[in-house]
Amino acid sequence: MIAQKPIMTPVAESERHTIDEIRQSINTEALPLVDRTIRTASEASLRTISLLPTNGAIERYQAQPHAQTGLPDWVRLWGEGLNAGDTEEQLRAWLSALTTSWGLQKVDEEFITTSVETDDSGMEHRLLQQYYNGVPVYGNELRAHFKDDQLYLLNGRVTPTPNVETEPAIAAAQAEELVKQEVKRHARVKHFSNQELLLLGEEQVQAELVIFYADEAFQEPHLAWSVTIVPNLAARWQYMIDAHTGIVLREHDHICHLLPPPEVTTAQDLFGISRTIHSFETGGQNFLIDASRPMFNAQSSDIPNDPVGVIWTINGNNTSPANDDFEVTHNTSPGNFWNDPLAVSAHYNAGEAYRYFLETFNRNSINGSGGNVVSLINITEDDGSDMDNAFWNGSAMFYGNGNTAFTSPLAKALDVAGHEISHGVIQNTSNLEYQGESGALNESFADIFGAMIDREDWQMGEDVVNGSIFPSGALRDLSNPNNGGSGLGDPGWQPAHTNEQFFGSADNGGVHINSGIPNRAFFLFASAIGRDRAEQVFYRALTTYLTRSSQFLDLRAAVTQSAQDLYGQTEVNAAINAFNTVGIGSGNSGGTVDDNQDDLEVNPGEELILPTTDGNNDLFIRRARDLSLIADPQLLLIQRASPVLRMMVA
Amino acid sequence: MKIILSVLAISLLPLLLWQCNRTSYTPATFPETDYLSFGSGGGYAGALTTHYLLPNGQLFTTEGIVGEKVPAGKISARKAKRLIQEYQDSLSSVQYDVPGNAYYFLEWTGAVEKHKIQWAKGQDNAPAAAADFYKQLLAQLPKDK
Repeated sequence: MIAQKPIMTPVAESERHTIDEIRQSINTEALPLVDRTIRTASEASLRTISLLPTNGAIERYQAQPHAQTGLPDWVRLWGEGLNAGDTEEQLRAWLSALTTSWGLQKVDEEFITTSVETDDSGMEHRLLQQYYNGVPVYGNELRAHFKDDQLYLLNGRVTPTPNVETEPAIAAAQAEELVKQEVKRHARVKHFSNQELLLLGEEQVQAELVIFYADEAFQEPHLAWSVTIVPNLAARWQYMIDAHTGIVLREHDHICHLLPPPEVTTAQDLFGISRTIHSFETGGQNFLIDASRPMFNAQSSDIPNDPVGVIWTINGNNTSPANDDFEVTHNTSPGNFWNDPLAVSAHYNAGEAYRYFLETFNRNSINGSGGNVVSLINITEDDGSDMDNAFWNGSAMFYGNGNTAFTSPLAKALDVAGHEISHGVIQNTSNLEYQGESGALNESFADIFGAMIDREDWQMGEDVVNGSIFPSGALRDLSNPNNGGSGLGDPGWQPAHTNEQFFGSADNGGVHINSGIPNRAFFLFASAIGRDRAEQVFYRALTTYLTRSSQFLDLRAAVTQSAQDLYGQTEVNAAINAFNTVGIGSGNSGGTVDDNQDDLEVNPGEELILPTTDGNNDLFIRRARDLSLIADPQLLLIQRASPVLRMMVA
Repeated sequence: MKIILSVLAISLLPLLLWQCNRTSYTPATFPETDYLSFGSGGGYAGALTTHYLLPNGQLFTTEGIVGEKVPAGKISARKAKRLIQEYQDSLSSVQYDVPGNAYYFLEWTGAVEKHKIQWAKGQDNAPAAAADFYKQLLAQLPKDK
């Protein structure tokens, strides 16, 4: 908490600093990006002040540091001229005002709008790509949000203008050839026929010149060839090749999973409940392919092996996709008679999950554009034992039949299907990364929509878990993440508050553990405003605001913003209360930090600065005129602060 | 005297090395470095199973995120060292850390650095060498594991 709005003196042209100095100035070492112990608005405010000074254009702002770069993110600005003119002019004005804070050199040339969308409420959302000398900076996307033609929010990743030669020393063809050799380490490379290339719909190898940061600290920009290669129809790889040295900076797979041609098998029923299911008849046989939904594309479909826009349940025949003997077949019936309870449950639940997203959010299937919903049942572990799990592999849902923790096939439960199909929706929207807090958010959204699809309670897995292992009778509980356990390691226990958050490295930073915290935030939010509104707000947060690297504090900002977009202050307050209760941020804002305290009366005296050392262990008083603010951003400038200053250091 | 001490030291060296190789670990004395871990996790259940292979051939298994290490059999030290060497020769240069909703992993914990490979379950495009090596390691576990 500071006593007064900070005043930053403009820096003369001759005193401007290098990009490195600007980067050093935000002191990322002293405030590590992964330090999630800094969560309260008051603690974060010191960083924000350093990051985004008010200046001639900016009179007032809200912002928080980007989770990866530490530079300003979730930025709102107020100032004369910032919201004047059309949307394009406003965007230019905001970007110009942020030039120094983001370390940009030619802001007019560094962003290009790549898409413009208008949502149901009439709000416009633009996606901008950062460029340098006409070369895109890989992954640096900025979202600009307009309401009533007024720009009100910018969020996304921006890095300082890179200092890199943009003329490649290595030609695209050389990079492609290099990748063709490299990918042989991982996948079989097939020479495609013309027909297969037509099926592929693109070149087998494609190269694009980009600026790429190979380091997590975003210190070392490389001019790189981003080379995408499809070595065979079941794989897609992306390589980053340094365009000056030819060094492989990164290799990465992309999901492009094509199933082997299904074969024939039989089917039956599970809960004992009679369900209405749809199948497809061809060649005198019925297949467990639901082509009755609005997404079905009859013209593009070749049933049964290549349907488009269907809900499709396939039998894994007690094999594992990890093994060479993985065998998948159609579920079939000689008539429209189904007697496999497991297949029926999986098929029905997938249909219910599809229907939920269509009817609740007008979302047409997992990918939003009528893609298939595929479930594979009777999946085993690699060693052939019964799989005590279910998972989303990037393109389909895989169900085991239970072993120890689960006493029933997982395909039996609607919340399991809801959870897994939601992973697909997440992948196709914000694409939250399976690591740390973003991974926990991924898991949490899957649980949240799973609980909304299976709406009768807040528990997950209660229909299939082994009650003798899980004391509450459920795998997880959004209303009570501790779930009958007393601490980490107890079956079903998850943290209910950030003060119980797991910070170890196991499970990629506890992605399946820490999801309990945002789960509970949703439960509290939904309890306050109702499930119908809460699910709309969270869906909007997921699809409109969150990005691949979003953290817990981003969720707070995204949800409060979405609540404001869709409803009003009551819902915003409910969101703030929910996040405060679970320890994701604090105070009365949506997570962004504002500086809109009323100005205090100016106190006559000398202008002083309070610098701190790394770790904020020492505090000094220095005269303002002796220091450069850009080079020493940890300094907290208090105007005419005499004789005593009140401040809090994070 | 110096000569006697030198001769004594040289003659005791093989014995000391032999003894080092015979060092047996318990969950309580599990080494902080120099072991290979492998396993799988994630999915709806959020399960995590981690196996550990030590250079002396001992195997341990952990269930869950903070589970205790449980002895899980032993292979010959020679075979263990060969497997670890194979990892270092063939896989330590692979930069692939892409866990999916459910995932497999291999990790070398050395005295100086850690190296980890992760890939998603149920996808065809995992690093083939890593997936094959993982199966080799699984085959070293007792059949009831």
